[in-house]
Amino acid sequence: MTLNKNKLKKTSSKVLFFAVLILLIVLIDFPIYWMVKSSLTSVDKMMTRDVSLGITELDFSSYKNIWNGTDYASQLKFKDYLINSLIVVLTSSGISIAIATLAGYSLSRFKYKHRDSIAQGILYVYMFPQMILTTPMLMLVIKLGLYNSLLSLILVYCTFSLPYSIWMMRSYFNVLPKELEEAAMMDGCSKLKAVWKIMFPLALPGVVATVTYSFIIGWSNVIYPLTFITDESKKMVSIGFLSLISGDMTPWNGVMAAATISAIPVVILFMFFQRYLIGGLAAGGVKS
Amino acid sequence: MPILRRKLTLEEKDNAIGRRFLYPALFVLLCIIAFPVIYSFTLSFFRWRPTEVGHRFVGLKNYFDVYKDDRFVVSIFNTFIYAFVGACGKIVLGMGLALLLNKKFPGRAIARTLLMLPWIIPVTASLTAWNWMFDGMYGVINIVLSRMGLISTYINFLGEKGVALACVLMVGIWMGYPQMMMMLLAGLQAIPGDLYEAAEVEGAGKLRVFFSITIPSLSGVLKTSIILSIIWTFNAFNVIWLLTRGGSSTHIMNTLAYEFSFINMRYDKGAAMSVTILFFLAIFLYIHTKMQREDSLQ
Repeated sequence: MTLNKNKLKKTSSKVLFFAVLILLIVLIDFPIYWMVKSSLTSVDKMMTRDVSLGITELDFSSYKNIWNGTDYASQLKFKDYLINSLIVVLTSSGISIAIATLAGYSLSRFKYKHRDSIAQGILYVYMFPQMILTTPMLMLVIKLGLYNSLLSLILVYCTFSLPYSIWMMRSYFNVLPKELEEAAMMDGCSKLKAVWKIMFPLALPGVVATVTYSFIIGWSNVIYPLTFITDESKKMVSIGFLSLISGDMTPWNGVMAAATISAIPVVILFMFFQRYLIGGLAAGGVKS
Repeated sequence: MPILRRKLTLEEKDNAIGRRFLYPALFVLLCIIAFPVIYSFTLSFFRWRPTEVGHRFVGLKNYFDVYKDDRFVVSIFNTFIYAFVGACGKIVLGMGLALLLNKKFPGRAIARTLLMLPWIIPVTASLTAWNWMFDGMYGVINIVLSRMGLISTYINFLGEKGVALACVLMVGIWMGYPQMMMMLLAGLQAIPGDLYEAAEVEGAGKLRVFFSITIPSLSGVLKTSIILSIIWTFNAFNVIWLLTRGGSSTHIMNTLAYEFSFINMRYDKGAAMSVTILFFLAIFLYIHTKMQREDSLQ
């Protein structure tokens, strides 16, 4: 009897647990679901109050319009946006990981004056609002003749992914055993060579996590592309489609289609590397 | 005599080389911090418009211009509401979901991904989706609320004072909680299991376990997450700018600075606003350093 009662209690608490979890997931992911759903809705079904919450039609015309730049999307160059974003984000993540690996290694392995205050200072840079950097950076970019160029964005993107990347790499090196590089050094490797040949491969999970992080953060950055780029063919995917939004005239299904396409690369990237990224995010935040 | 110059030991030599690995990063970071701060600070004392040639020293005039603006006080008020209420929301939601995800159950990885989505999706994508959902004519929130009989006329969510701020806050929490969730989840998983076993043997209730084991073991992580989420929320720009452009009294200091600089083309006024923001930020950072120092003393 008591055993049964216990079992019943266990089952009911399990059911309650899943019910709460699923309810929360549904509520939290509803905006993303709605984005995808709206992108698959035809124009005449869009502007009506008679909507159902389920997916009732699969109309891909908004995707065609966005992709080919037809109809309301005629001023859009969506394919260019995607390529621009890829170029800028990949290049800047690459530069930033190279610098961050060296710095993280240095902060983790060597002892010198002010090392810990420097590490702390780097964390403060991470807490700096991008807004404050925007005007001075814009003036610098104009002075260097880089206005409306992808190069300006590559340089600026390095800066905001760098601080956290350094912290993530540092915490990765902190947990790697020291003996390995000592053995390498005995074999006559130089320090830099030891970093490159031994530590970098060993820290690869950390590198993957850090690059994924820089990619996600860079891909969705708003403020720099908004201020540095006005040329339509140089725009980033994160802000390119915002020009479609114009009050009551907004073609919402097209906007939602563009938003969905812009989200696909990062979602795929996350699904592939989430194991690494989650460990890295936690490490960077927890180990101070 | 060279006897005075002690030869560097191998280890010291190593450390000297190792320090150099830091230089590229330090160079970049100094450029991105030192230059903009000095630039903004200097510019804030000058009159400078893109249409005029040259700078003219005007003392504190830009600051007075900023402080006279009606939106300035509102923006400070909003920034603090946004930073503190937003941070609380992110921590509470993140903690709740981290506790759920800390249990072992089938489909946990999928649940984790689904709960991370608000953070992964590019901000412009999710914020345009919210914009569409808040729409005053055909937005799904209005439609659902009126079908449920909760409202009789459609609400212009992002166009009404107060309501707009609440919406912006909600979306901010929605976008920011996953990072807190992940940090807290990592903290939860680091708590040794035998602590819970001991509590179970002694017959402690769930609430008791939560408050006397979970929370104290998490105190370090919690402190970090709270201060980080306050600072991140303080630094917010995207949510407000992309939802309301600071309309309906939703300006925070960052969006107001952006409006001064890039909409009104008053870079000098924007610089004065930036310096004001830095002042407030410095207070947070001071508290953060002090808290960390206390931690390391313990």
